Amino acid sequence: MKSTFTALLLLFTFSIVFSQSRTLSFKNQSLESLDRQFYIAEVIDSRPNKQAVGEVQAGL
Amino acid sequence: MIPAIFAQPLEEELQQFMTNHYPKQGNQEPVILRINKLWVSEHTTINTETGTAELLVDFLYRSGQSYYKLYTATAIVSQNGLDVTRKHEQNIANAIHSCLKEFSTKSWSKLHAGSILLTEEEAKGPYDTIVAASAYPISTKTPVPGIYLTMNEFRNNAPSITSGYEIRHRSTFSNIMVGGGEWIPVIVTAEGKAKLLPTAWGFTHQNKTYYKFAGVYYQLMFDGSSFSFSGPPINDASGLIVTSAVMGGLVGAAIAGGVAAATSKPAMYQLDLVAGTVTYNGKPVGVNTANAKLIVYRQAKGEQKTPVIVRLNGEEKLFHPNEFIELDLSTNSAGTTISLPDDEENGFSFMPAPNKTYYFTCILNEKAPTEKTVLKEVDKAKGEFDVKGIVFSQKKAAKQ
Repeated sequence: MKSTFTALLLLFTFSIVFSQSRTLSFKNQSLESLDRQFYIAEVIDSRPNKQAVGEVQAGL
Repeated sequence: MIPAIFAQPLEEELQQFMTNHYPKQGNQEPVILRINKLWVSEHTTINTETGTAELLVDFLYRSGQSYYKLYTATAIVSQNGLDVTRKHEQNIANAIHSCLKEFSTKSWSKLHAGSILLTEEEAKGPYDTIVAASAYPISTKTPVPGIYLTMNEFRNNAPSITSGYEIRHRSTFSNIMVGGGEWIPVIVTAEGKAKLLPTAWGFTHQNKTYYKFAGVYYQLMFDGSSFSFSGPPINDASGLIVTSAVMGGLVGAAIAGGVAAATSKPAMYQLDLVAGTVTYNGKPVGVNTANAKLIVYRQAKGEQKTPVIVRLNGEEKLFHPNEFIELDLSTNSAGTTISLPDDEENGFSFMPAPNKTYYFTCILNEKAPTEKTVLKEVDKAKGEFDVKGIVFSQKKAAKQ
């Protein structure tokens, strides 16, 4: 009984923590082809605030 | 609302994404992509959700220990629908593609010739919008009179059209609630005829600068560090403009329809000099032109049967009797212009309202003493009825 309760509590805590942010990923994202004379050799992130890239709905 | 994050640092995510999709090929030049701003957001109303990605990037070139800023590009990509939360990656990808595509069209030699030298600290340090904005000539110098075709011309205080134009006043302009549209720039031809300039970004006239927003020119105000303007009413919840105005003629014909309600109050917008975006209360705004359509037709009942030409957003279209065209205006939030080719002074310019179909008819009356084509807006009931009649005639003719 005690272990079930602990497991449920952990699951609940995990779901709360997990829902505190939405993780974006380019893994399955496509990009249109492009005629170009250049390639991106380096990316610099000069955003003053690097904590997040936006605000979105928390969802259900 | 919760924060949106990437699992890895942004540099790594983007570098991987770029390498996968746009790998080095042949003798391509190495370029550094500097991300100054990347922000996704959502606006929700009862009926729909809008997800937006804003991107502001610099393209840099490195030579030894020196960095050179070649170009700045911005993009705002929005998608409407349900569950826009799942579309942020796609919006970001589309914004990246838009910036890269814009950069790819520029002449490499011209970019190098106009590049700005940066120290490593400047190249890699945190981006400062205020410093960046104050570095533009328009922030420190008196605006040069003329017409700007791009925002870059405005930033650099270098209008590309400084002669051969006029700024016309709409003398009977009465739509004061919208707060703009009082003045309009026109190109004057050698024959003395005025031509609309749909590609204009804005203009400076009598020490005042005007910016074209959703097809209408609004006066910009400058407080020493940022630009703002009083523009059309806005829906606070959706962040979308809710009104539209059709303005007949260049010099003050009556407003044809779809004007802002008298109770609507103009909204105060900010023009972000660095990002090139328009914001309201700190959030980007869009012009809601969803499902806006334009139908131009020629019924020619009891009229001359000669074809007539109409200019639509600068392009000439030929209309025979019993012909019509239907244009989706949703893709042209910059505004629409329609006129007769030799009479742009009496044309119409307007920003389309959502879910509205505009009907224009061309008339070439046999009995008219001048025998000139007339272009006029008609109401929905008449427009629908006439177009149904044209479709019926076309079907009947096809059967014969």
